[in-house]
Amino acid sequence: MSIELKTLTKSYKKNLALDRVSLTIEKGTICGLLGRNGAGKTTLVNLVGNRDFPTFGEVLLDGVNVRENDKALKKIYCMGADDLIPVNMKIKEVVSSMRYFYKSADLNYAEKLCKDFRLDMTKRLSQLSTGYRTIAKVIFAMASGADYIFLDEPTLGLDANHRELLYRLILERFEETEAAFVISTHLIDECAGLFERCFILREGTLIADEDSETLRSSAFVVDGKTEQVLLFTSGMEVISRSELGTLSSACVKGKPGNVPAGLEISKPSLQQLLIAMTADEKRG
Amino acid sequence: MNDFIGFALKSRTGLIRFVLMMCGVFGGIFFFYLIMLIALVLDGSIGKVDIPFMGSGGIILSGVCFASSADRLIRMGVNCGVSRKTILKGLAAAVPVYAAVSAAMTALAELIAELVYQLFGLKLLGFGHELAEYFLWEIKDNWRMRVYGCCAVFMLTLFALAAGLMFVGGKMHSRRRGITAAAVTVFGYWVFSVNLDYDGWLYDLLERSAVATNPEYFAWQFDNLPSLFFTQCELLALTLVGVYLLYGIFAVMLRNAPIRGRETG
Repeated sequence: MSIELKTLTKSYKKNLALDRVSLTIEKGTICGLLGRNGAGKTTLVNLVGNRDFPTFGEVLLDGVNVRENDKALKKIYCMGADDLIPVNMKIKEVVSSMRYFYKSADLNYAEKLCKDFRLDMTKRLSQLSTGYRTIAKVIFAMASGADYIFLDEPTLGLDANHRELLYRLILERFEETEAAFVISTHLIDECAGLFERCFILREGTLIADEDSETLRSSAFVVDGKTEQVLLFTSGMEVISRSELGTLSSACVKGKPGNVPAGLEISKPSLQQLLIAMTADEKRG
Repeated sequence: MNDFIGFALKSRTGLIRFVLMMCGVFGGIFFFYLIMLIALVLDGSIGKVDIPFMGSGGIILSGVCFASSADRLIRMGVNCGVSRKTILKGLAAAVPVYAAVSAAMTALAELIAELVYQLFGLKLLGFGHELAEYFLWEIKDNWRMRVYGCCAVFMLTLFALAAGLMFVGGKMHSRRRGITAAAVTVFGYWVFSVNLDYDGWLYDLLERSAVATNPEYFAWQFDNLPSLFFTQCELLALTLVGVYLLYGIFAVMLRNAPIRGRETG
């Protein structure tokens, strides 16, 4: 079982938000959807969830196009960063509404999550802080019982304790249900441990679609004196470079090979790699 | 589709909320009439004046309440994986139920208001007055008027609900378009229905041109049927055409509308 995006393209007048994005999300995986602001992450989630329509391309669930397809859409839940759920609805009202649409919606689980997060179910979404509103939306998604759950910015406004709790609950739920989770976030290092696979978008284009470990192993960081670093990296594919006084740091694609003395090699974190891969060329 | 219809008719977010909103609306109208009643008592005009009931106001407000309900239903539906196609079909099925409920509520509200006013020797000139007369004094003689009067309220409510849908369809594109859509439909409502009671120009124009082109047929109509029967038939037909037109525009709007929460606008 999988969701397949085929040359998915979306343009808003002259602005190309997504450019021929093709990727596959297998059931039973947790994936990271990463990229800078405006990279097209939310657009991608909206297209998968039938909230918006692609200019070109299609989203297939087990080979069937999800566009205007109720049966396929019932297997997908997209938690958006924007307020699609009317904010003057009470949490318990939203939760009880979900049973009309998702047959496997687990209302008891939603109640349990509300207790875990100390969220009052009788409150309206408009009465909640940004963090609690995010928590409420994550709870709706997790309790939906859908096979594919897209979480767009699930950590928006959450404090460190709640983020830790959220990561733990996602892992628990993943083990119970084997649903696919696609998490779009900017807190990459915190979530890096969750991701089995990463999709990196840059200005609407998919620039990486790999296992997290493979992705991290595909590059290395070299630190040292600027002259030495420049000499060592000449002829290599440098993803990003930064200088501080006489010292330089470069993120380079490939394997380091023989490293001369005076240079330090390390494995980049996912966040470092993302910054390197998506940095502005001017700053590069 | 059954899921969405069930959600629209059974859930607290759907029909129940709509009925509660309508109760609020009629509560407001009653409050207005009670204030007016007190003013009339203080003025000493009791038994001397007749006041038109704002039944049309109730129907228009039912359209506004429905727009609010439809907005919720559509957003929740799209959020929970319901296709636009199913939403359109589901709403088309749910609208007559909403219309029947609000028409019944409007009629009941008018009737109660009329009865309260009659206790003070006043009367409200509206559908409630007609109903009160039919039910209390003239049931046997005016069955046609009563039946068509009920139909007219139902159809006008349908019209108002379709106007509400058009507002929601427009809002999904942008708020400005939604407001324009609402303004156009309120104008349409006024032209088609409210204005009819006060020698509206569109009705006169239609009737004059119809009579001019088919004089024999209309002569037969006027000779054989009560004039109100003819008027109501025409009113119902015009309203139904208006409803279908508005629903069609709504369907086209919603079919292509991206729904992106607060970003829309």
